[in-house]
Amino acid sequence: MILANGTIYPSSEQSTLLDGLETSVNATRMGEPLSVDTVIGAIDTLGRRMAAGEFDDILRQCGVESLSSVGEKVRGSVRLLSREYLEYKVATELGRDFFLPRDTRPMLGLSGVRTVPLPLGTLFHISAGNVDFLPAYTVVEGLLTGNVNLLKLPQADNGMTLLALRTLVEIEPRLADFIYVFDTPSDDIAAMKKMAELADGIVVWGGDAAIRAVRKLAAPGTKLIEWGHRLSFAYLSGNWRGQPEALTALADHLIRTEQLLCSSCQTIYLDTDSMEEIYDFCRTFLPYLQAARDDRPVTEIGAAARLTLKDYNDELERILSGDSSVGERRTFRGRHCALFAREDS
Amino acid sequence: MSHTSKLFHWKNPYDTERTKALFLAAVRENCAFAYARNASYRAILDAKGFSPDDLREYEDIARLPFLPTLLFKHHELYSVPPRRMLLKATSSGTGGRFSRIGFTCGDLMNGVPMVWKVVRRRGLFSPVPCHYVVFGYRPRRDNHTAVTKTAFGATLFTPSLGRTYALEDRNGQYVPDFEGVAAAIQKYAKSRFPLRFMGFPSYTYFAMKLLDERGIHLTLPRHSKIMIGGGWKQFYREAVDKEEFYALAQKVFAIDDSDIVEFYGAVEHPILYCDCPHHHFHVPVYSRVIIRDVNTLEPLPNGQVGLVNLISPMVRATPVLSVMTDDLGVLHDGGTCGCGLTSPYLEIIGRVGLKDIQTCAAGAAELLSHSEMLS
Repeated sequence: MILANGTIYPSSEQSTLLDGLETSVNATRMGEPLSVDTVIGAIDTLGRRMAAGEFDDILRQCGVESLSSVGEKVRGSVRLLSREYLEYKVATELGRDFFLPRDTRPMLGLSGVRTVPLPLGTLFHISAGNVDFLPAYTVVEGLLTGNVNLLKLPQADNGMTLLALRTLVEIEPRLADFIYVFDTPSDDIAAMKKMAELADGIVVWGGDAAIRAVRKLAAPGTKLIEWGHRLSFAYLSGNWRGQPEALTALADHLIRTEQLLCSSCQTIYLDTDSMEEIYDFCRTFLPYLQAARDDRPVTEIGAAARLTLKDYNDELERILSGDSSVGERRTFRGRHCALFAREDS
Repeated sequence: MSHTSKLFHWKNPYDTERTKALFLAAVRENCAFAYARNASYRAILDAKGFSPDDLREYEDIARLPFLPTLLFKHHELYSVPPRRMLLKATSSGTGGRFSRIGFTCGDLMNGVPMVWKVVRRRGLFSPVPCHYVVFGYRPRRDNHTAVTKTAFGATLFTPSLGRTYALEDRNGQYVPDFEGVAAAIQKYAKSRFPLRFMGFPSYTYFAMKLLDERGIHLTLPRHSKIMIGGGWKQFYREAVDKEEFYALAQKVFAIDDSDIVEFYGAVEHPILYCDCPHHHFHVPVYSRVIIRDVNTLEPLPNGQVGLVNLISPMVRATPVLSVMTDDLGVLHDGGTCGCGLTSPYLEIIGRVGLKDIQTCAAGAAELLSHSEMLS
């Protein structure tokens, strides 16, 4: 399905819509600019309706199985959708009163100028599909800065993105002309190129490989706006012993994401000079990690074999890289999980 | 004569029971060689607390540290200087990376009696010339894949009247040419001489299917054979049931399943596994198979599914003495086959699982897979 100017169209309408896209985007950009307040108001309302449980059923249909999991998602999201948070976010990231015109007052009698921050124009979003709502979130970021947004849905999208953005347009019809969502498959190169050509900036979520691929799509003048962590880690200082909830949460995160996402913790740093404390941490943390693993057991034989083989291969890789010469190291092995203690080189 | 050489000259290629002591001696010999000359291999054994001298009993072979095939994809682990290597071969690189395995002249010489004995048992050597259709790559200088070399090797079992390849070299790029193959098959079917097929099972199946759909059903000359090898690899999910394969061969070519021979092997374990008339891969004397638990990597008794660990002292140039494949398989008691061979037989049931979580790269990968088109 396609969302354009607040209306849902079938995917078959794609080429017709793309043909008229430049005209309609230009008309939007010539018209009334989108104020940050309008956007924040709409998102805040969406958040309240979510908190009231209005979308729980649909969320469950979209593949979030358990009620508690839906509740967890909603609670987590609603905080981020509140007016208070959004205003804080905009002020922190852009500065207070960012959108107001400003006059420069140079010294020595030089003439001043008036500066006004304006939206970049049209953004084409290529989002990752591995986190719910991420495609919608990237569009919201574009809206907050007043841009027209073209979103290509990831193939793995479960329908939540379209639901969220359509509801946003229902709440605030002034957003309608600023949101276009296409379910173009990635192999429809012609369509992708067309969207890229219309864009002043391409927002891309992903690693080096994704960025390289998108660069090929972009015209020379088009800006690439890159998102995504490349490496994430946990940093523990002070009294980690007294914080079982934090250790439980960390273990759950490690297992839930299988450390495969850019935002997955890859390394746990301990603020200490003592190797003994690191070993002590490993001994303490391994049961947490094991419990999290056991909560999400690897039951399928092929998947279990893959994990075991990977563990074993990693072990040999470390031997071959002469890792043992880099300070002390020790392995604390559980079932389908392990902790490798080593000095920070 | 070294123990390894003796092993490869053993008269009965499936006499695994009576070759236990010799196999152990050959493994110890190979292990000591690699340990003395290959610093990487030594580092692994040292880290695992294992020394070649620990190989005292036959059962100790299971304790010998094994190297995953994955390791050979990231490291060139050679035990001899490059000038002593007569041949370097690579795996076919499913998924982008391939193993590099070197062989000395002596390693390859071990292969000669092995191939002779194993292939002769299945009656594949013949002085009668044959036409060959290879469902694989036409060999060329820069193609080092073992699968190409072995497919070519199989066309040497008899004098050849000509070879047609399904993957033809067109200006440096391999392109499938099923039309050419279909035409060649129809032409050779009228010949007095047998026609032999060799290559990937999936391609062979595809070609048979193509002919069947066009209503072309042939009676190939007597003694024609279908040889398949190179594994089902990435096709295994769509892997055709073997019975269906045999039925199609009967329908399209009038070839009995007794004239269909399958090979199994890997560049990291270059032992020729050849199926018996009941289409089972009995373990030959040159090799031993240990099925390991997918969680603990401990050896499992026959009949249980696990990771396939292959052991052979054939190669000295590269430490492939004990390798862990990413295949899942079962080892069955030899007696249950009924073909008369008593050595256990290996059944491959799949590969280790794919990721069950989507990575950040997955969204991008959709895009990436088309990036050639973008440029």
